[in-house]
Amino acid sequence: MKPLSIQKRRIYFTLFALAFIVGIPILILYSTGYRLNSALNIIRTGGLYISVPYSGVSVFVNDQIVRQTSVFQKNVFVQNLRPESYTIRVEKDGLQLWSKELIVSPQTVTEAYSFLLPEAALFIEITEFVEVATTSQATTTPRTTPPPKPQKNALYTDIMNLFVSTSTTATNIKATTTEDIKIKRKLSVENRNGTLVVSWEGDISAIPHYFCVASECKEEIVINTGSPVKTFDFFPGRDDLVIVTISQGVYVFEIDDRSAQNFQLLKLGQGIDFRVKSNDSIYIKDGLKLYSVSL
Amino acid sequence: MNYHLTPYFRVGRASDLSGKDRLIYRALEILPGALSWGTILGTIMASFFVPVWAAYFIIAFDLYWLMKNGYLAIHLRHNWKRIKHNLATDWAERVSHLKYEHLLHLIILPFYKEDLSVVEESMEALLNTEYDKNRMAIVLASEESAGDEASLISKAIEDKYADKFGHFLVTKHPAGTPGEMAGKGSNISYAAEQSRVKILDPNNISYGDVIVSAFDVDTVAYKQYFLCLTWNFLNVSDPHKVSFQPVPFYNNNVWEAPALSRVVAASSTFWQMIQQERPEKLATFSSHSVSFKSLYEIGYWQKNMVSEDSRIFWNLFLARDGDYSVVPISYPVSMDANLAPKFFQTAKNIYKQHRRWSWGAENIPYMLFGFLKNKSIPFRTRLRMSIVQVEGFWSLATNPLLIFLLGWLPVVLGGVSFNSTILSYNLPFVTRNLMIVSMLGLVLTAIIFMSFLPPKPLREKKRSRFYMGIQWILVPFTIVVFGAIPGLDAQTRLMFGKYMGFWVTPKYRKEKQQ
Repeated sequence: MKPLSIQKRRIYFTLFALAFIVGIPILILYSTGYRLNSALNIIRTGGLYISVPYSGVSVFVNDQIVRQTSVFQKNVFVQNLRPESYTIRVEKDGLQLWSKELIVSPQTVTEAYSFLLPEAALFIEITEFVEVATTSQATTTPRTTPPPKPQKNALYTDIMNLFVSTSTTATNIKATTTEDIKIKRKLSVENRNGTLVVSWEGDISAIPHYFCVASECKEEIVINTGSPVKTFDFFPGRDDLVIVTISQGVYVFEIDDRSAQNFQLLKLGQGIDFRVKSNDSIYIKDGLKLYSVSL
Repeated sequence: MNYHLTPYFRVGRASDLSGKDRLIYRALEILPGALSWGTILGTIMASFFVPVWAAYFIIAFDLYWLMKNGYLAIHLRHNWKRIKHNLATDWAERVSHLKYEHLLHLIILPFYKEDLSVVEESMEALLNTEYDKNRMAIVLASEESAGDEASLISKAIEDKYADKFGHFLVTKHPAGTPGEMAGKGSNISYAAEQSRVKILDPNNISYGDVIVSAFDVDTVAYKQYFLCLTWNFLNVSDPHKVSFQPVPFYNNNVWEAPALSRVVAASSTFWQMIQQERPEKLATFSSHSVSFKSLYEIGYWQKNMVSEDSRIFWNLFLARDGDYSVVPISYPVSMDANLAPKFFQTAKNIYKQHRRWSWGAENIPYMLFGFLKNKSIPFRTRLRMSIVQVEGFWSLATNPLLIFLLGWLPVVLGGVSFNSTILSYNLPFVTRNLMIVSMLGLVLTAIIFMSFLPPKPLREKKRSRFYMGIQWILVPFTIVVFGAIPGLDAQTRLMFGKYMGFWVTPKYRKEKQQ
């Protein structure tokens, strides 16, 4: 049996080389968002990237479901979209709705980071006193165990102190204060007479996506809370969300103002306040009662 | 041009030369590593500074990889059919029409400290070959530095097999000979010369009638190997202008070796099978055969370098002014896959063996320097060979890294601006999909591998055969860890003048321990 002939090898080589030469522009055009429309014209498309914090969440684009998130894939990337405005809706039973109107630009992916608070968050009361059982000691004469004796709850005291302290700032303490400026990863939020103004203090090349539309980036974003902000802080684990206390209660607002800013209720009530501790726990104070928030 | 008479012919490294020649040779030693590192660092830099262009390059490269795999798969499949055909051919009948009784097969088995059982297995295989044993000369080429135990094994082998072949010689290569590097090259060169003095000349055997097979000590010849080799020797226009290359299988211990070792070994087999269909790109590798006349004319294998198996081809190519080639005989010989008592040691040995093979990059400066000096070789030939060989070593060290590791770099290093483009989102999907399609070729490799497996020993479990099929999912890992990285390691050493010595792959047999 003879080796593969040089003629055959040349034919194969030519075929593969042709496939390569033809394939390169097709792949690159495809990867950069070029598509054929129904009229067989080449058009430039864009995409949407929606970050979703939970699995089992339905993501809609223009009222059409595009994906239900799973444990392995919580984020949604939709491409082949014509450059125009799209309404994104993210919803799941038991969670508050998040929606956004976003403009898709050609060859660009428009990002959005949804947040979904529970419709009824769980508030766990931190009591001022806790019952501490006394340990019985073995004696030769039987004795009855004394009833538990109430003791001051150290956690209650610690958290209550957070609502008193005003001496530190968000960059170097681990809890919310009532100061006017908070900075997280070069993102500054300032309370100007009850209005929150967000600005970017870092390098322009690293500016958060929601400051920019196409190549135009704004210097400040105003969070439209509707009524004056009393206290505010970054939402634990996120730098695109702030928790605010306004006269109606405690709410979470998104900074992204490319369309109407989403806000979701955490707890309704007048005179209530909150603190964030260690960037992972939210505490609500309602009168003399303290609650930790389970989301 | 009598290039083999020039001082350049036996150069082992830049320091063997002086003046301008030394500088040129040193620059050529740097070349393979510089190209590979340039590609890797260039991709990293481009991903940082011009991520869009880096992404285009990666997509293009992935497609190139896919097309190359497809193209090579056709060669692999054809060679698979050819080997099966050759194994089914009755070579005794084919050579019976030829006059071949005057030919002598001189088989050199370089031996260091391997166990008796390893040498015995090779000897038994030689004894079982269908060839007139009177026309076979066996040379057990031992090393003085291997000590007394090796001498005892040599003696035992000689006692057992000497009278079963026409000629049998045990040579003992002296240790510490000036100008030599301890290794296979110096050993088999010494053995070849001793054979001339002690076998060929006393028996008035013409050098042109002697076919030398330079085996490894674990090389097991298939039954009709020497008949097939003889047929090929007699059917080329000038057998002294070619070397003969069998296909190295690693089947001796395939049922004992771990999956990692099997995959890496079989990958080497497949590469050689592909090259068998592209003889113009083929240089000799591992066990090979060549006429004694050719060897004698150039002073045998080089003694001052590691990759003597490939270097002998370049020696002869340059000595014959480019009028030299390799005949792929598409007939297998079998050797050991890497195996050590512990898995980690096996992995370490695989790495070291592949680094030694990749050290074959030392032939690049030798070849290019030879091409600069020997203008008798046609320019087109020199250019084509240079491109083929340089591309080969560059591919080995860079392609798997580009495909499996660096494809995501623009996304990681490209910055906010690039990461908001649809190209940045599509890059991982496109590269992943192209890679998956490329990996479909593994089905073919699994089928071919299974088809050449020796019968399953009774002690092996039924599921062993299943593992032999599924093991190919390791390829993305092995091609990087035991392909690209040792390749890059060897080229980097050459680049910095940290010359490697010869590392003998340990041979280990599980049965011996049971």
